[in-house]
Parts: sequence; C-alpha cells; structure tokens
Amino acid sequence: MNQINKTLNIALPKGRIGDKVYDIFVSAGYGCAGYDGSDRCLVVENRDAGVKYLWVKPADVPVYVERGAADLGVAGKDILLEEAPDTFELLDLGVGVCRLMIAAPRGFRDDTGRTLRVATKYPRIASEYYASLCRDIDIIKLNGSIELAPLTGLSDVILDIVETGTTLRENGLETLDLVFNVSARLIANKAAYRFKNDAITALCGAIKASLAR
Amino acid sequence: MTLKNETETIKNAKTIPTNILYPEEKAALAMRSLYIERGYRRFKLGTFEDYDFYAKYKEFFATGGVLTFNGNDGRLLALKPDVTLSVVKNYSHDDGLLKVYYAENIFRYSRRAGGFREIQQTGVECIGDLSPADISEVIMLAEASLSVALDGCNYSLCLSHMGLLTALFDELAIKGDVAQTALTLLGGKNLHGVEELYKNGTISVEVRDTLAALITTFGPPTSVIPKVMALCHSEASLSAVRELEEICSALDKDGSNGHLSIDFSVISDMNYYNGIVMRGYLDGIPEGVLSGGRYDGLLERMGKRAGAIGFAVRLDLLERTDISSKNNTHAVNNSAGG
Repeated sequence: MNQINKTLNIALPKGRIGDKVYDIFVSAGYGCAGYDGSDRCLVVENRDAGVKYLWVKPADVPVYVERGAADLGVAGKDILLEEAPDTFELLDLGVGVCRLMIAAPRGFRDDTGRTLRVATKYPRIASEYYASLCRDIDIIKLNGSIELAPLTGLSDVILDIVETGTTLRENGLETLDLVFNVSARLIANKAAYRFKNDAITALCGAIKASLAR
Repeated sequence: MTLKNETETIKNAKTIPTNILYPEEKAALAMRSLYIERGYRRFKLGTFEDYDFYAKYKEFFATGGVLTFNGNDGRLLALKPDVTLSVVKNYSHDDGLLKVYYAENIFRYSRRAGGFREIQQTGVECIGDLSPADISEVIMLAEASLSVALDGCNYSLCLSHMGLLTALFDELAIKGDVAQTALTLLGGKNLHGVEELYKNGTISVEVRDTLAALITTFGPPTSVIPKVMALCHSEASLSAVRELEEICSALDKDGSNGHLSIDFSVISDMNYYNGIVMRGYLDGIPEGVLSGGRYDGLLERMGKRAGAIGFAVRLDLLERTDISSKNNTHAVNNSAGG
C-alpha cells in the first residue's frame, strides 16, 4: 500500500474571506510565488513549504476536510455549527468576523401563543437555538435574501449573519438576539492530525505567530 | 496461478489463494486469527431484534435512528445497529469471564450520507470480573488489529480515560451543560472555545487551565502521563492515570513501537464508558477505523454486575486503500515559496 506524502492539502473558501485567509497563510510563510488570486485555478501548490491549496465553495470546506480530501481547511463558524463535521477546530483566525443573529421587523413582539416562523439558511442552528428556549418554531429554509421573508409575510423572524446591520436597517428590520459570534476557523481532519502532526503543528505555530504580529 | 488452478484449489478446499481476497476480507481473516489465538470464541447474531431493546439504550450507539419494520406478529423489529448490546444481553455472571469476537454487518444512520448505511464490523468483547491483564489484552488486540489491517500501513492507537475525565470534572465541579460543552471542546481540540468560555464567565481560571492542558497534552504515554498526573488531585483521578500508565507500560513491553499515543480528544459517553477508551487510525483513511473502551456503565444499566471492555473495527472503511490519488490533484501553480 502506498503511503501518502506529507504535503498538507488545505481547503480554502473561494471569495473575499478566502482571500483574507490566504493572506494570513502568506504572512506565515506558506504562500505560493506567482499566485495572486486573480486567475481561476482551483489548486495551487508550494512544494518547498509542503502545502497545496484547494479553492472550494465555502460551504464545502468541512466536507473536504471531514472526508480527508483536505487535511486542513478554513470555514466560518456558522458553517461549522450548521454542518457539525467530525473535525478538530484548531484556530480562530479572527477574520470574517460577524454575528449570527435573530432579527425581525422593527417593533416585533413574539406571540408565544403561536408557532414562530423562522426563515434561515441555517435550519440546524435555528432548530437547536429555539429548542434550547423550548420555543416551538416552523423553519423556512431559504438560500439567500433572507431579509425579504418577514417583509413578505413568509416568516415572523429571520436567523442570519449580520456584519454591519446596514442591510437589516435598510429593510426595516432590527436585531433581537445574538445566537453566536462568527469568524473563520482552521479545522483539521482527525486522521491527518495524527499522521501529519509535525507539519500541522508547525503551520499552526507559524499562523499564530503571524496573527500575533 | 491460472484461473483453472485457482478454481481447483478452492474446490479442494485446502488453501484459498489470498490474491482473490479484498482488503477488508484479508483484514477480517487476519483479525479473526488473532482473536482465536487469544482464546476468543465466535459470537453470532441474528440480523434483527425487538426495537424496544435498542430504543432503551440508544445513547450507547449514538445514532440518529434505527431501521425498523413490523414482523408477522405485529412486533416492531429493528435491523441491528450495534453488536455490543446483544453480547451484553446474553452475558451471565455465572458463566465466568466471557471472551468473544464477532464479524457482523450493522445498520446505522449516517448524518454524512443523509441516510442509513450498512457497516461491516469485526471486534471483540471481554466481560466479567476483569483483571488488569484482561484489559491490557484487549488493548493489545486492538493495537494488533490495526497492525494487520492493511499491509505496511502506518497506524495509530489513541487512548483516553473517561474515568479520569469524570474524576477531573468532579474535582472542578464541571457539571450539566458546561460538562457537555467542555467534552465537545475537548473532542474538537478547540482551545479558543475554552478561552471564550472563560472570558464570558462560564468557567473559572482553574477549569480553563485544566481543559487547555488536556487539549494540548497529546502524544506518547511517557511524555503525556507525568503532565496529566500533575493535573490530578483526587484518589479517583490519580488511580485512573495509574491505570493508564500500567496499561501503556504493558503494551510497550509487548512492542507497540511508537504507535500508541494518549489523546484526550477521544471521547465517549460518560454514562456508559467509565475507563480506558480508544480510537484507532490507519494512515490514509480519513476517519477512525477502530473504536471502543471500557463500558461497565452499560452493564450497570442492564442490571448486570461485571466489568466490560471491547472494540470494533470498521472493515468497510478498508475498501479505501487506493489512497495515492488524493495527492495527484493537479496543481496549476507548482511553485516555491511566495
């Protein structure tokens, strides 16, 4: 049986947060010369540093890591809470900072005599959050423009990511409760952590040092 | 060997050529041979049992449900999601020490697959008045099972101790939801999560430091045990570390050759598992292939007074032996440092 080599495969989320995360890896000494993020290649490698980056859809990062196609990955805490992958969560990278919040039209008062209708991209988080409050809810799973749901009568409240709150305000909504603080986290495959421990520990150390600077 | 010769050999039933076996079949035979050599007898199960039996102990096998159907007489039956429960149900203290192995398929819900999966398992259970030698033997068999699972494959057996974690939690008065959160953070090696709990006032500085030490202490027993010993302040926790130390030392004498490590991210249900727990990994297979531990709590719940330890190996995961492909992903930009 072939032994896998010790290159670290790292799944990064495509998009704005992914670019910020890649910059952290570059500062830690794990960049790839000639790669500036402007091309469309999905795999880039720095053989000397022993890293290979796989650019994937943000929600797919936990899948790549849990199933071992990537040894490490960077995913938002919102995605990790929703997908609950069986992985290690090694570092909080401190980028992509936002909040998972409950929001509703201004002046909304919860009528506990009725089932609360909650529109969200995160059905699992919504279900667990309201279960912890013993509140009966009806989850409406949406894939985008969540703010529209209470405005059209589709839902009473929404559970969504809030960065600055501008979109909410512009749509006549206000935040009610904080569910979780979100930021990008470095996650690791549990088997890879055992067999590539030296490389993973070195990379984590370099990233921590880079974040502390 | 030609096909004709192979066929003849099988017909003669003298030897079966190993080159016709799939990796999981080879592993199953190699493991069975290990277990028989150590005096374990086969335990054979039916494919289904009464649903009520599994419903009562469903936390033990931590699954999202059980596949059920109605029998002719209207009884609700379930395709078995677990083997250990049936072995324990059959155990009687009057029989003395029970040492059995099994090779069975079980049916469990897989969140990842979004449905039920048939899982091929082999493993051992040792139930009775357990001596330290019995416990060491089971862990040695776990280590040996990993060593014969795939030819030339590196492996790692990680040990933890639920009795130790329970004792430390008691010492630090970590209870209820906080205990559950602490176990989740330990299981995820989530150091920043521990720090966050401390910052928001959920845990004390002592709890934070102990959890942080348990998360960062990982590796060979000789380096980990002294560090863990320093965290223990009660007879219960000290005796758990001593047990861990004795077992690791016995395994080292048997030649574990650096494959053994202590890792407190290996977590099992505290209600059932009270002693050593273990998880085994094979290099290139992305999830644990072996899991098990000491589960006296289950026997107690079933009204039986005895100790019990065992493990199961996921043979279906051994299908994934062509592990070189993931590193053949074509990199467009093969470069040196940037």
